[in-house]
Amino acid sequence: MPTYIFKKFFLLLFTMWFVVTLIFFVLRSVPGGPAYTALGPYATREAVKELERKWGLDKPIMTQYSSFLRKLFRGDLGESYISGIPISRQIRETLPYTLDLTFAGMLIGIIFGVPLGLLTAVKRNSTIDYGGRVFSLCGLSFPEFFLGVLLIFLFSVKWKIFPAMGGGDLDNLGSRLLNIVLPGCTLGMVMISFISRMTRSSVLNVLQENYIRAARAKGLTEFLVIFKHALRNASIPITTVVGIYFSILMGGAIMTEVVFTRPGLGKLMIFALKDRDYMLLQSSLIVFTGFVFVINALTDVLYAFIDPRIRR
Amino acid sequence: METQAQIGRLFRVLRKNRISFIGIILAFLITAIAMIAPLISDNPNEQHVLRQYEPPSLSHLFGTDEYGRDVFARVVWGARISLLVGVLSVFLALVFGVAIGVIGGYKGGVIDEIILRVVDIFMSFPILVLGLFVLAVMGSGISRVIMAIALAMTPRVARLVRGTTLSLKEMQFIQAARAIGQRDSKIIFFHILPNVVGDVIVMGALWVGTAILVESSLSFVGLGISPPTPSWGAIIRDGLDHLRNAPHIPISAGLAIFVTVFSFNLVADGLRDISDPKLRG
Repeated sequence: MPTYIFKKFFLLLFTMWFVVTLIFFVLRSVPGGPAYTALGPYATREAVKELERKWGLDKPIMTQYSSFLRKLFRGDLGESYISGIPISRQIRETLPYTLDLTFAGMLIGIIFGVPLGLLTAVKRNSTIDYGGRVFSLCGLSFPEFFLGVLLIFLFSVKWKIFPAMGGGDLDNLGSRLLNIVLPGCTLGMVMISFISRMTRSSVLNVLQENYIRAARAKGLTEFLVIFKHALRNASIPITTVVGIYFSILMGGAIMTEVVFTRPGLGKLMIFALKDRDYMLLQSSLIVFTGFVFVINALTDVLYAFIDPRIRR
Repeated sequence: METQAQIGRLFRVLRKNRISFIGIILAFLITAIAMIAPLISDNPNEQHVLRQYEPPSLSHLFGTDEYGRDVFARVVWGARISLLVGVLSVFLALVFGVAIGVIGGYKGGVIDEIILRVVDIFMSFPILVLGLFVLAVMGSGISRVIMAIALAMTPRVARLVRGTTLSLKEMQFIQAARAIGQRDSKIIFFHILPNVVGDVIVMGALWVGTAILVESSLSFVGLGISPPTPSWGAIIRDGLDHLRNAPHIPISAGLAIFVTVFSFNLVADGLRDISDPKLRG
């Protein structure tokens, strides 16, 4: 196990280095360069040069790269090109909103998705199964931002129950919860669909195993067969897939934050993109992807922990 | 020949599978509507400022928007954009992904190891983030959106095809082809590729749906297709500001996305049931 964790950790470091390097070089290859894009087509050559000097873009690219890596290693994410605010502060302020949202989405997904998947698998080919499957297919086909729009229309504009915009006050639990309901449900809906489909197929796979037949043959009640034998074994693939879907969850979180104007990491990234603030974009992309990679690595380790066959 | 037989078999079974059959009919209908869009309205950008925010009526099926443009015409023209982006980007992704996947799976060794690592890294990015990243560098516009989505999907195709190729490589008919001394290129083109096609078609339907969702998301955040070109995502974004007095605008575009993606997902779901007999109903 320690060797496995060590290997995973090393791979994670390598992956992070690769991605950080990729982001660094690709963003510097914008036609005309970041300074030109930030100033727009009417900027004079001198203005662009001046801005490049200010941002340190006039130095040789490898010098920029090594100083970028050194700073990143110390946790210094630089300053926003446009507002001049330290990016680490901006990220610290936005991260809780994204964490709340992803947590809520995942929670709703698991709470409703696993039972739904189990039910459709056990009642296979019945009306319940078809209903459940069509429901989850609908969830996959619904763009999360449109679901958000619908929820806003119903619960904020028409019935005025929940706030439509913002993330609420972080120090005020009531307002924080009130503001997470609609975005959380939006994201949760997508997760319910993914998780219930995955649960269904892995439970179906397990139900065909010999040990299930054995459990039934020795006269166990169907309840025990399903919950003690089937679900427990099916939970192994479900755990990994929940990890894999984390990247989908994060992608969905961006759109959800945009619709609900929730001041999270995804919104920050879109803001940086639209403002052509390449420094902010670079750092928020690094934090965002780093988050996804760390979670993925953790799921892998967790998986190996549950299922010893993986550790090879 | 093999491919033809495979596709023929696929369609025969498809007809029996009711779910995917409904999906095929829906997808076909949407494509037909997209094709005859010019007959429905010759200009989706025609403005009638005096007829702002009209609710749905017989003359304007989905009502009008803030410039008095007919929302139905915009949604119908939007179908052209969505389908174009969906199909073309998946096609491009298939071309590159199949090439990369087959080479990796067939050659094995260091090449495969490198391909696998890079593909895995790209796969852990959300497709949307990859798309945004590419657009940030290339700028927006329809051809760039297509390229961005294709780039974001290529690793997924490569991963799938690599797996299939790996298992095919061990099959007896490939071993036999090798034993009689056929060249690698011949084996790849005549034996591996035709057998990969089946898998790719199943996932292709799913990916078209995903690509349409990603395009609408990109346009929704204002980084995809630029106005006034009618794109479903952009119609929803514009409608968001007028949710109180004109909810019909975002709702009609949103339903259009839903029905389209749903139909492709139905097709994919049915196809997968067929290809995975264990889960077959």
